[in-house]
Amino acid sequence: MNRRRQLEEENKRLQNQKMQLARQVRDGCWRDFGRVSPFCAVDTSQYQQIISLHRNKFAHKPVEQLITEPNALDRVRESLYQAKKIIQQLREARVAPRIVTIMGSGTDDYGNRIVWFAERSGQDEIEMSQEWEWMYVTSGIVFMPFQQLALLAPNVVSGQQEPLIDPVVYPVQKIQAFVDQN
Amino acid sequence: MTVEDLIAKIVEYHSPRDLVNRLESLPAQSRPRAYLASFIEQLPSRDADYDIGTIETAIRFLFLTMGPYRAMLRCCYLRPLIRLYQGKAGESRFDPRISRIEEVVQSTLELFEIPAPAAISSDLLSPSEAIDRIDTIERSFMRSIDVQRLDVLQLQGGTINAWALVEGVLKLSLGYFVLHFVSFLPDKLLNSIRKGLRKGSAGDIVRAFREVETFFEKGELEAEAKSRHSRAGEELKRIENT
Repeated sequence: MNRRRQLEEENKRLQNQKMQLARQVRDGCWRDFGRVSPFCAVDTSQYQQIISLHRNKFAHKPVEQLITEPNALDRVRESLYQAKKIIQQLREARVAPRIVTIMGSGTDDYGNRIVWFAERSGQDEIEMSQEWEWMYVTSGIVFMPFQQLALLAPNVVSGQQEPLIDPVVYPVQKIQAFVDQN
Repeated sequence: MTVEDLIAKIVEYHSPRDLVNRLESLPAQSRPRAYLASFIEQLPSRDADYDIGTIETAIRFLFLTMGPYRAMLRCCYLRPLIRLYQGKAGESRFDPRISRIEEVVQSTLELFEIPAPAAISSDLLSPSEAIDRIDTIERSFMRSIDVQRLDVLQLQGGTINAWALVEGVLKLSLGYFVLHFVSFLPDKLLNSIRKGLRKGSAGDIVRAFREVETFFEKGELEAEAKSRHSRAGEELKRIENT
């Protein structure tokens, strides 16, 4: 009986230890990103289904078979629509960081150091009509012109407002190195 | 050498007035010139001191929008550029009377080993960039339907490419958050994430997303919790049997 209680207590202790760790990371996520976990703002379980329905179909079937299926063109359209929708959701939920290019540095009206940046888009050149955004220099940024940074949206609108939360910023090369090492 | 080093050298070897002249010579209707107008208007008159910082920013802008080669042709004069080259290379290879500025620019870029910013390649994608590219795929697809020249391979290739763009955004999101929390994450979770990234398909990456979520909720992986519970259950059963 003693051994049984001992085992149960041991199990509970381990579980508490794990929960403690979970609380710690949740607090960190709340502090840095304003939510309890990185991907809680999107329903990823739905994504699995969408991906197998709209991506795997095209990736795994021979093209001759695809084209003979009824409504093949509508399916292609729907697949592109779903791909775009996932990206839009990730962007709006602030799950996918933006990749921006540092354009220059300067100071605001009070002499605080700021950097100007433009978001990378699918165009070859930075769109001229695009207004540059700016943010305060945080400890995470070493200013280098043309540097590509991944950041989660600072709440600034075209040089008008001060960021509400300091953006968490990483050089894209650092993330790429992490992804490549795997 | 970085682009920033090269810009510093350009500023060092040219007079501020020379650089302002070159910047002002950009076509008035061109988009870069229109954008630069706000910088140039801030520049003081001929006799006053020039704000080097503003000139440098304007040159940086040129480099970014035009790429290093075209930007240097736009903002440099031949003689200062030859001096700049010689200052770095230590030899006089060009003659200002016969050398062409295009050659000097090309050699200077090679000497400074400057990569064009556009050449930086990465399979990580900004959401805006991915959406722009899917729009392009969609447009080309619609155009093919309009002219009734739809190639079935293009149809399949376009769709697969669109999902590869989704994968690029998913990878960026996963890499970004994992890098941020890496010191908290246990090896088992990191190994599982690595597996997802190595396989690289959207489904595998989304699975890794869910494991990260489980860890943030429970402090351990689903599989880890299950095996702990089953171990404890087996142990209890063994005790009851004895």
